Amino acid sequence: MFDQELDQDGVLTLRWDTPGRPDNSFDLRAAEHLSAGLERAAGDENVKGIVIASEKEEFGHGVNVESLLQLTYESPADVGEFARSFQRVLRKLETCGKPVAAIASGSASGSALDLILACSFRIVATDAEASFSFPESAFGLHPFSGATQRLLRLIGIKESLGMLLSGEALSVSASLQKGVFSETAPRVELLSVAKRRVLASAVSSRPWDKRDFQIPDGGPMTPTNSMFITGAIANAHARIAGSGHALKNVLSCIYEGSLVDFDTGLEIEARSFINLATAPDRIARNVIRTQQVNLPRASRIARSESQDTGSQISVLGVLGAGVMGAGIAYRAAAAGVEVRLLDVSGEAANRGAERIKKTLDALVARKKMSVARAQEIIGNVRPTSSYGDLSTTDLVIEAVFEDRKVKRDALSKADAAMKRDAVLASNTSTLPITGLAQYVQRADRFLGMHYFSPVDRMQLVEVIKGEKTSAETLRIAADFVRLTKMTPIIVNDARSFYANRVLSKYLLEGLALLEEGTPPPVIERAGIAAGMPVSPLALLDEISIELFCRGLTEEKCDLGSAYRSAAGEGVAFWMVEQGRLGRRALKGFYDYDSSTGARQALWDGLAKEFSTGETSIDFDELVTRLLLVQSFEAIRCLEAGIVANPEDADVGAYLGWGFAPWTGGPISYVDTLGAVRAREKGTMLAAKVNNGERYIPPALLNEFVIEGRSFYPSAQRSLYR
Amino acid sequence: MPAAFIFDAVRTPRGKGKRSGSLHCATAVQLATTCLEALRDRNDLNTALVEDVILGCAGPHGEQGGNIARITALNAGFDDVAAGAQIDRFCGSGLDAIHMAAANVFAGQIDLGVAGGVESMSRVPMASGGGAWGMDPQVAWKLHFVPQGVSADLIATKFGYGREALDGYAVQSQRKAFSAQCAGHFDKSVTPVKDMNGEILLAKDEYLRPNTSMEELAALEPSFKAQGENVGFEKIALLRYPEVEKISYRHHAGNSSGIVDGASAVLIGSRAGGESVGLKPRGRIRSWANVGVEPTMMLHGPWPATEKALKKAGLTIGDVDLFEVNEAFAGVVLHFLRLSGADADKVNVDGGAIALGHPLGATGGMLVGTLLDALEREDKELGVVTMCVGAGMGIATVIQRI
Repeated sequence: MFDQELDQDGVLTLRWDTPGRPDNSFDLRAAEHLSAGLERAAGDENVKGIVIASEKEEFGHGVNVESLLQLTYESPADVGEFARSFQRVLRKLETCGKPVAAIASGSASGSALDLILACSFRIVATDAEASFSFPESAFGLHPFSGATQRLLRLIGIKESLGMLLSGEALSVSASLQKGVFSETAPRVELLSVAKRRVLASAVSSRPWDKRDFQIPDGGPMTPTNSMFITGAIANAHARIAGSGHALKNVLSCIYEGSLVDFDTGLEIEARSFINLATAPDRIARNVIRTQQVNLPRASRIARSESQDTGSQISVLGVLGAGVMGAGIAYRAAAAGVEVRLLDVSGEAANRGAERIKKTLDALVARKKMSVARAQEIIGNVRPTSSYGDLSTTDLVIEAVFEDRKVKRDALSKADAAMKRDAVLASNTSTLPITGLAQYVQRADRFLGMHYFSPVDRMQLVEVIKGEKTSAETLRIAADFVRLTKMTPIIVNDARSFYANRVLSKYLLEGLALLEEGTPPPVIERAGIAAGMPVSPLALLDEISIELFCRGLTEEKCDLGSAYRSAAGEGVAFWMVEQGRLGRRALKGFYDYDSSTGARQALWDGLAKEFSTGETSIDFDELVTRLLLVQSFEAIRCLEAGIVANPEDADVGAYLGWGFAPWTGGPISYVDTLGAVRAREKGTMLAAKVNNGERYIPPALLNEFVIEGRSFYPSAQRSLYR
Repeated sequence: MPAAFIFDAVRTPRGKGKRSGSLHCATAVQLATTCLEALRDRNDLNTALVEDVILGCAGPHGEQGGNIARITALNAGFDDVAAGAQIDRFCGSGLDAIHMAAANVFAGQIDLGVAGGVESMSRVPMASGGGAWGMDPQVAWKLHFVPQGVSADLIATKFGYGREALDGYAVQSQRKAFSAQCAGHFDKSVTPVKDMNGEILLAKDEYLRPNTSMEELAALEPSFKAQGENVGFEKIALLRYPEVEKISYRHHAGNSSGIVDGASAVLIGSRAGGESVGLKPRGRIRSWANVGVEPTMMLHGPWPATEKALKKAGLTIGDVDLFEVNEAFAGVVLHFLRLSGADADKVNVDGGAIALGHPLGATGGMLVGTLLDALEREDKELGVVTMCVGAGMGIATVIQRI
């Protein structure tokens, strides 16, 4: 794994090459191999210096996310042993008595980048297209192999915090300029430069092992640094939702590390890492599982040999060149799919193509895309008004106006024009797919594909199974979604499907709280404190209160006497009566500036209408309510088979409406609370809250309590046993 | 029970706490030494009878570190027997030094002591000592640390002290301080600071801006908006106060206390102590109190502290003739006025820290002197000094003129 090669001059090259893997990952095994190599080198007086190189295209990365996930199931002692075994190896490297150089001609991250930091000479290829980062804070963790301490002592307090808190990937030039690398050389000369350096070096210890060592930017007590630290804490705290605790502990590693010697700093880092990996809030576990493991898994096209042919969509038809249609066409065209963008007239279709061009132009203007690439994408889009042009399409997605008659017309025309084996989808957010299937001959090859607005930025697509939709059809659609770098979740045909159904509970809860007399700012703050990206009343304004009410009214009409009115819905209707329709009207729960449209303050009419003057508010309970009400609805969706499994429910919530990312999703949130506590809270709230039926614990939760189960497995295979 | 008497109170003038300030070329120990020498010289004090020197200092590090009280006593040529201790209760340090000396007297453990404080804000900048409150990530996070300015604006927003009210208060403070200075109200306690050649560096308070107008103040940009909005302190504060929709930034350089350099010293003792050095008491310390309040709002401690101290003395707010409420921020005083119901005409009759400056650890001692002078001048009896204190505290002292 670290192949050894001693040259005539006494330079031992350790070539890192994980067998059978496309890339190197600095995991426990790699660390053990490196340790063995270092021990041999240290005991061999013929070895004058060491060069560490990677045989892969990229230098290497840290422990893979599956292992990190497993780590969150280990005991604190085992997590500590895990971290410290990496620390020991890199410390051995630093103190082996021989000068060591690392050469990098490709990207490095996590503990693999720390391996580079542990070397006195860190040489990067001038011509490398590479980036260097410590991404761990995005996983609710931080580096554990000593990187916080090395980085602090190499590049100072400000730069190390900048890199660790943001997880930002540095370019070759940025990492050189900051001092992550000590020098640069052309790729072909890397090895010879490294050998020269270690042979010429009289020093074999690191600067921080010398008595008079000072942190490059002056330590924590310089006026600028002390202010910077205080500001960095506040900045991270203000963003508390998400990987808040990880950021706090990164700050502690740097702050405390700057006050002590290197080895004590390692100990502080290890203890802090144990804290993150094993804390009862389970942020690391939940974040890694949903965002790093299950999301990529849902987004990956399964490559099995039998299915590899025929499932690729090479020509897509899009019906309706409005905002949604153009968005879908754009995503497909960017993935190299030929698109027929169809609308009632050539003019309307062209307008859709113009929309795409506008999106592309903006990207080019912001230097996010080359002109050539933009031309390539728009070249894939052919506007048309002729259904005949759909004859070569493999998939057609209908995205016309949300009206049953309009949809019927478009679907039946497309159905007639398409190849027999092609797939037809409707992008509807409200109409049941099974009903729409009546308008087409190919009911088994018909399904729903629910895109979210704005399509160019949202990653989720709900792939909706109608009564007659075949499994093959679902697979083709899901793989098409993946092809366009989006993530599908399979959802059964049901009112509002999954995402909007659960999200609406969040919005209604905000309204219910208002109805109960909770001061409006408290409701909004609770939403943010829960980790939701937008507070409930502000989100209602964005969506439009009027539209929200229209949905409620339709549901009422459809369900007739079976409709149960929801707590809080009266507030929405009252708002519409007051002419407070939402953001577009510049009047909603908030006031908006009439010229700029900027959000001003909460409308003072709210406090007048709903305030009870009650001041003893249990803020934490509000935060819990805003999340739990969604979790219970997500569990009901699992019960009803609307979503198939907790993974889809959580990934869908994360991508669909940004459900409090630190929780891992509505199902993970309940697992973290524990079924027993979640049921207790539900029962308590159902009794306490007006019209509190929504808090009656779902049957599935009751079963879990009785059986002592959780939604996700409660233990993973141990790394150690 | 023995009583604690005040025999004399002195202070340095307050110099602007920046490079151009007249006291910037004086060391902190020099400022404190000035006060100790003045106490001794004008009272012909036998320092061999001074049992302790207690000085408050809110930045007790660097040149103010290493127990500046003992070092100052020695530097001032006090007899070796005069021990010394420096204490830190943030802005309440100077007042608390007086409490400690008084407590020793009350307890019958000393008969004579000096208490006061020192702060060279120009040479030892605020917050330069670090500390866990704002710098230790685990602690700052848990305590919802925000800087005082953000707390002041939180109070102003939550309790509705508008910009105009705050500025109006500031203009008044300037007017009262200037007329007090012109009328010589500060002459009794202020002692000039001299250099090593005896040349006067500063003889009177220099921070005042007597011509301050509402228009001028209205033009000032709020000072704490960037801290609140850009750094993120507002969001942190509102996690504690979710009922506040957003903080309105209303405090600025003109309605907040000035950053200044200075020192103060008060001679405190028992009746016997006074007799031993031939001094008649000018006043008496009746009672005092320290309280803790919620630390993110931080600055609302003066009224609970005052209430507690008055209760200990068996007094009510109506008994008090004059108040010195430290003008850390205009909003702090307005909030005190609202909660206490005190008559605004009895509060800060000679202006306050908005006009004169607030040399943190030194201020408590200065305010005791100012209040005692005012009680004597106006022939009044009972006075209260109260201050807001960092990390959510309040401190108050009840004194009685004799």
